[in-house]
Amino acid sequence: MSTVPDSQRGDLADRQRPMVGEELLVVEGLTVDFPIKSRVLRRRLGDIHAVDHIDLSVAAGETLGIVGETGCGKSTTGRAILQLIRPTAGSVRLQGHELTTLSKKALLPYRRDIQIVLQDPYSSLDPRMTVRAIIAEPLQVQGISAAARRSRVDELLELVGLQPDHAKRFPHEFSGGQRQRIAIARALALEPRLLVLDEPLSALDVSIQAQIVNLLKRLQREMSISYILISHDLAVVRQISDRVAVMYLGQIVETGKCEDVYTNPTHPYTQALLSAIPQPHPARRGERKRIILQGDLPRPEAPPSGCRFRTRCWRAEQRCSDEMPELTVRNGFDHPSACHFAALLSGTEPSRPGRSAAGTTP
Amino acid sequence: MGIVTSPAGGPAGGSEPLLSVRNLSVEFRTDGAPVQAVRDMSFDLYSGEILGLVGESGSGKSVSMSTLLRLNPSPPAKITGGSVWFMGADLLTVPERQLRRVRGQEIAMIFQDPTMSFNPVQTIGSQISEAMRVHDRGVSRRNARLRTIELLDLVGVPSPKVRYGQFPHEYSGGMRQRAMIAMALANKPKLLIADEPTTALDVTVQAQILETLQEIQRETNLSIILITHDMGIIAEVADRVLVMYAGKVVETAEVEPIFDAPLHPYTRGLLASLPRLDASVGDLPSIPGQPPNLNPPPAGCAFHPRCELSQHRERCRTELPDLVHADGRQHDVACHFFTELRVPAPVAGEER
Repeated sequence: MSTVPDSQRGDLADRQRPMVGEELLVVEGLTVDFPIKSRVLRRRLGDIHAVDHIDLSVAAGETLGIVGETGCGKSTTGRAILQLIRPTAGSVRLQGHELTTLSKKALLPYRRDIQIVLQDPYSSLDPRMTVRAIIAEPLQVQGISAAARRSRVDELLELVGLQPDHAKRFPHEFSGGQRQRIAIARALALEPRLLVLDEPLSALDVSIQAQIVNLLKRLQREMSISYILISHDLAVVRQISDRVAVMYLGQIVETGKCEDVYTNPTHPYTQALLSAIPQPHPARRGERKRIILQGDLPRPEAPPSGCRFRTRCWRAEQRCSDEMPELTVRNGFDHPSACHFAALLSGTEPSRPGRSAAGTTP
Repeated sequence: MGIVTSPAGGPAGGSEPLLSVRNLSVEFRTDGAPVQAVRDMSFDLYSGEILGLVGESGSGKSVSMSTLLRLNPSPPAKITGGSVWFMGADLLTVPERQLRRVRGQEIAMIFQDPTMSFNPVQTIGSQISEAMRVHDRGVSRRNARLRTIELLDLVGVPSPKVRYGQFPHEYSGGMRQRAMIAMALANKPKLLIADEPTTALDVTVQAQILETLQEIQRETNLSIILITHDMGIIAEVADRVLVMYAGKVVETAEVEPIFDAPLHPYTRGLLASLPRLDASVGDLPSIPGQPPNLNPPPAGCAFHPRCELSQHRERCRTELPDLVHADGRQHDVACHFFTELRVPAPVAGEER
């Protein structure tokens, strides 16, 4: 995929690339707490548990989608994997190397392997830098020679579908979709093994979203790179991902192959989320029963006891407030779900919408 | 009454539309050439109808709707032509005093970001009551309060009596948008313009808000213009659709024909490029190229540089297509060669 001779690329090519399908990233018990401090004395009053004991893994060449709504901790998870936010507890291992214990300096060589693409290409690119400087910056940080940087930038521009003469221009001369291509080129500059894509399409127009989706898919085919795609858009995640993890209030509530989770969701939150998406054709109006979740997301500094979803769940029973359900394979389904009563949605559900709390048995 | 053939002077005959926009054009003055944000827009809206206005950023959908109430400061905005007939008056020519009675009373508007639309240091309840009393001095404070609580209840804000006295920051995003809708409904408007009302919200909250809007529409026979870029929302709630591209209406029809047999290549591309939930297809069909620059818009048909149908034909490059009746079902399209588009679904294309 690369035409630059190895000798000019510093030690970029020395790294061992994992085989497709081999475990690339393993995250165990990842926890991120943000302290709540008092205004005057800066005393720690408590913690917001943004991410709470998450396990996940990504194989080489695979895409893991993380979906969830605002405040569920999906972006924090992405940043904690990159060590941009240092996790409170847990381990993040990249090809067996533990990242959480490394100093900033010791992390530098690993930074090449994991890169991030952010949501808003209008604010994530420095308006005073040319496209060439933007894309070359990570190469420079890693100490790659000027000549090698030049040819690598040209190569990257072509890879993401931009013209060579675009290198001289500035971000404001580009539309949103082209800017996102620049951001992707920059992220790919160091041939990372894992790209964290944090809402890469949300700021783009619909007609441009499909272009970027296809670009990401092609790059993955050509470079066997792995993606973690963080998004609130379940349709986009379905389009790109092999596996998906659904997050609610800092925890993964259901995970599995896209096909399994989308066609046979067993967690009530996943079911509600899927039912809320508008039907793509007017003839199908009302065909799927919309589950309207009652109430708002509980405050993350004081999550409900037991199952965190129970305050909005129609299946909730006493057990749900006593015992936190583990994310595990249940009731004969082949993908894990964190619901004591994991089951497909029955025709009569939700039969008790809006029950405000658990505690009563049906 | 047809959209193209109706006289430019105002509505006439048949069942009267509630709102009749004719040949509306809006420019923005810039340092260089003026940006033609809305070009020759005409449409009718009938009572009790939900009209979906779709288009990408910069297509003129928001600008055209805020122009109906002359909300765009001039300069830089300049209305260069057209008329907006609403209840027997042209809103573009009535004096400001008269227009103020229409704004918020007959025609209400809600916006994408409910956080920015409320005063942060005044309670939600008092802001809604105030909106009521501005237009009707006859309402006592007490009655305004009672009616506000009723409205909050109507739009699904739980424990409305308590919520009345709370400040905007004590509301979640979805609740704020509900309160915004309550405020919009305070004076029993005939028309509600909702500009991307659910874009800033999560899907589960979006579902709640759309349901609320539909319920209110059914109960009060309100007309709604719903501005959105999301074809899924259009499919869920709209009765009729107006598709805009580069400041022009390129297609309009009832919602089913738009989805079943779209006639404009842009509409077709837009529908084909929607990611699907039920299956992961290979590559998504996508519209090539970039959104158009409106300063100036491409000559001829503004969509021609990205159009698969045009294939750089002379006519597309030079001649602006009129919005014409395509068939008997009031399906109008602005494309020279739409008759060639009877073949089903576009093929999966390149990524650019």
